[in-house]
Amino acid sequence: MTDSLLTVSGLCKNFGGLAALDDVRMSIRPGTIHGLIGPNGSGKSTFINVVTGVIQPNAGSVSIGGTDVAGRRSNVVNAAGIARTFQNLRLFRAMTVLDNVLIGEHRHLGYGLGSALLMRNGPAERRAKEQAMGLLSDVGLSHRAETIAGSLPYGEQRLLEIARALATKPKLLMLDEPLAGMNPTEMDRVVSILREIVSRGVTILLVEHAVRVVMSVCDHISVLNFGRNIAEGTPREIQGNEDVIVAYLGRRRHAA
Amino acid sequence: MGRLNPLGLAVIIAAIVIPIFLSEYALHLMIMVVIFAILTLSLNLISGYGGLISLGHAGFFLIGSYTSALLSVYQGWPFWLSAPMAILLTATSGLLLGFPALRWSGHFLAVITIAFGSIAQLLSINWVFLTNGIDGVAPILRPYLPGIDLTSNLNYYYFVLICLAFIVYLMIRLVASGFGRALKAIKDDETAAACMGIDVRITKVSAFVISAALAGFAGALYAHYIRFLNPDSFSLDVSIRIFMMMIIGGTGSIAGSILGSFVVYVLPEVLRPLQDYYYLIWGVIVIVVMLFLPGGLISLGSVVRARLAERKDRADQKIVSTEAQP
Repeated sequence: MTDSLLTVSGLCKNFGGLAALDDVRMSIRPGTIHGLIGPNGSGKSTFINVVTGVIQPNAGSVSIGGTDVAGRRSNVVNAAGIARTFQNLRLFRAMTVLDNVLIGEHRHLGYGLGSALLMRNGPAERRAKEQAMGLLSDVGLSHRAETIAGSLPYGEQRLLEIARALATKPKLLMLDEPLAGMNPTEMDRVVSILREIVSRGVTILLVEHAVRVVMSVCDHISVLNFGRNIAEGTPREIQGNEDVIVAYLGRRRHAA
Repeated sequence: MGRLNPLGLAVIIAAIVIPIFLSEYALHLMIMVVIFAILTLSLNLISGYGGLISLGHAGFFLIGSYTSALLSVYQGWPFWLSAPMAILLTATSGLLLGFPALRWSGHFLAVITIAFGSIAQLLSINWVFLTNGIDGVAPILRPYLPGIDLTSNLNYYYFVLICLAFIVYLMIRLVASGFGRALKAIKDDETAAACMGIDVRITKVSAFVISAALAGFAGALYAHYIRFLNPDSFSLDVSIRIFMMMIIGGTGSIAGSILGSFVVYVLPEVLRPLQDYYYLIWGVIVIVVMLFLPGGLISLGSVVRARLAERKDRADQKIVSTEAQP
């Protein structure tokens, strides 16, 4: 347990009478792609929302690199090293693609209001822009830098979300269905981007419905159903796990 | 915004040259336009860029006016000390209001700021010991500047114009900085902004404090221009007027704030000869602008250009389709 980057234990979230998360635990080792799967409504997005401070948990602990962030505000969680993307795309739609990434760099700009007013933020802004352009070219969007984010095609919006999250220089990147609505070519591109991200030392939590992709890229997988952990293991172990098969496909009618 | 086009240059030259030939009354209007332009810019920072609605800016305007006026009249402070004090005090009141109030946004914030404006005005009426109540404060001296006689309204006009230019510069720097970008991001999507590491609360409160400080400065400029203050000049009506200037000029546009102040302040004066029909016509103009130019008057040029381009496109398509007919 000591060598895990993210340690979650006893995480609970109730919406009214519904337990969206019920005593969820998770441990993510650094340098891995950790898959989080489960049927619709099993609590995957809620898990990300609670961990990143968008929703407050009812109980539980969340620790990233030794810092406890359970119930803290989203910007504190981000500063502690967790970045995320959103399942239903939450780009700054009225801003340019480049500005979206620059928002990701905000915490690292290294200048305050005073130097902005005295026109002494030029070098810092230029450095930030260079880094942002680098990230955009990593995801293949550098030609779109000056486009308004809201007008990008769907697949490119997903890529921009990844670039924007990476700009915050996270230790752990939580991707909420980054492949949703993509065609096979785009999926391949995202998968290679994910591998590239991990090779640069960023750990990934991947929530995804495209099971084949999850099985092929993830080192380790957690499975949720009705807000509870039901399985944990390598892709091979998960594929053969009876509980997981039941959760996805239902119980065989004449099973003993 | 930012770029200076020929039209903008022409406006600046006109703003410098034309007042020389204006009547005292028209000059008075121009001075008020400039003071209101500063107020509108200050509102635009939080509303236009940050998406926070304030209908209490008359409150900050009042605090700035009274602070500078009272220090000047009763303590004998020069403008150059009383005005910074006015800025400091409004900034502090912005902080005190902003910290609790900015947990809310939208309608709730609008109502809270209305309440703030009302409280400020009620205090100025009833705290007679400090403000002299409805009898008002007078005579407030014009700022003393060696070599330049600011008791001349023309000179005072240039003085406030320079102040406006300075504040426009500040706004441009602010909006183009990381701070301005963060503010726009918060307006777009607060949750996403927080998840990208932006401290939403601090950013909003900072914007609110800066906005209040600018409104306080406008207040000081007003007090030492008009030389007599009483609580009537700071009603909810004034807050709404500032809000209209921002909307009609162009939300989120620096040039729009200035244009909006000019139009909203001067147009009613121009329409005044219409007497009974004056409010009717003014109302219709406001509604038409809102319906057809959601980006405000400042967007008129680009909207017309887009329409023309659209029409030309359609005409071109027609030619192509008739050519393809045979």
